[in-house]
Amino acid sequence: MASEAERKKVALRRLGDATFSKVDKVSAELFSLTYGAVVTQLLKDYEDVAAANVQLEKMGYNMGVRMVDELLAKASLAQCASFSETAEVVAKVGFKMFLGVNVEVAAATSSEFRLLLSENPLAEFVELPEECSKLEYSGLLCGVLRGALEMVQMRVECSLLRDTLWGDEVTEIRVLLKERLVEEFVDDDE
Amino acid sequence: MSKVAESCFSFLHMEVVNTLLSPTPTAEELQHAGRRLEVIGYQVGERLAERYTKDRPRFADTLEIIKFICKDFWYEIYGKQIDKLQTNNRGVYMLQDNRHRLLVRCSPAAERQSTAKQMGATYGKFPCGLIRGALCGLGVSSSVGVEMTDVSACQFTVRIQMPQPPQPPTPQQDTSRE
Repeated sequence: MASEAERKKVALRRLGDATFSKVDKVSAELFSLTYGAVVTQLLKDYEDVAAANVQLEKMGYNMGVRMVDELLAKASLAQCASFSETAEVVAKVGFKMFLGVNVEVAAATSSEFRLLLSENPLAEFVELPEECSKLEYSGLLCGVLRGALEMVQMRVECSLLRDTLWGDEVTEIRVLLKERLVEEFVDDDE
Repeated sequence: MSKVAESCFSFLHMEVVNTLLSPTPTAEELQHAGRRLEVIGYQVGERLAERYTKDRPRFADTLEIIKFICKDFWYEIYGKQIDKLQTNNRGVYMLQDNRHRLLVRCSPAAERQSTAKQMGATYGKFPCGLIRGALCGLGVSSSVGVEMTDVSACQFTVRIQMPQPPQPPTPQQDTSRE
């Protein structure tokens, strides 16, 4: 059984690599610097770290809604059998395909998993000043996960547990499955 | 050099535009959002120019800097070069990008057809800022405008601001036409 799971992981990793090599790419510097400039603008506008956190998460959500489409279109994936398999797909295919980074899954259960990012293209060149020490700079990723998973019928809650920008060794995101949504079909005629 | 998926960047950019606009933006709002995007682009352009030129010899003149923007700078960012460069040799340069990467994914909704061009111009403001920022980082102050020539084609007009030389008195305009 264990080897079966291992085999799946390797296959997913290969799929992630293959998909990333297939998509059009831009320089990571452009991406991270742009994100940095956007965060700076938000902080200036809201003048409040907590409000900026909320806004970043919201932006992430809207991005995630679109990104899951892109993922399903570009990578040929089968349906996930379990939530822990979803975790592997998110880490090995999702993160790889969009950001080109390798992400580890930890503590995956049927209702929760954690993602460990040792490299984070968003936070390149970033240092948080004292007054923004509570800023969830990578909160965008939480939003992306929430938006993307909601589109595939999973309502989740994501939180940033650790962040390299807060002085931690890795960036850690916890994803909690709240509810599996049931697809509702509404008849147009009635 | 490390890369990320282009779609990832497009989505981020789209989302930034989205946060700056209401669902049915007015002309004034679009203009305001455009200015904000330009500022974001400016900051990015300035920094990128610095990074991309650190191992290069000094530029001899403005034209060389503009050529650098059209070729290497654009290539590093968008994986393609500017398609056409024109100049009047008096400090105005026209940079034509026939298939701008940020714009190829756009398709205006039917109810927004009337503002599609303006919306496109808003999207073009980010690269405008990139150019202006990069030029500024390389010591050339300028103003940059954008015009949409097609759905995904755009033309940037760069006006170099010369250090003001003493102006010769301007000849009197022919006033008979007024």
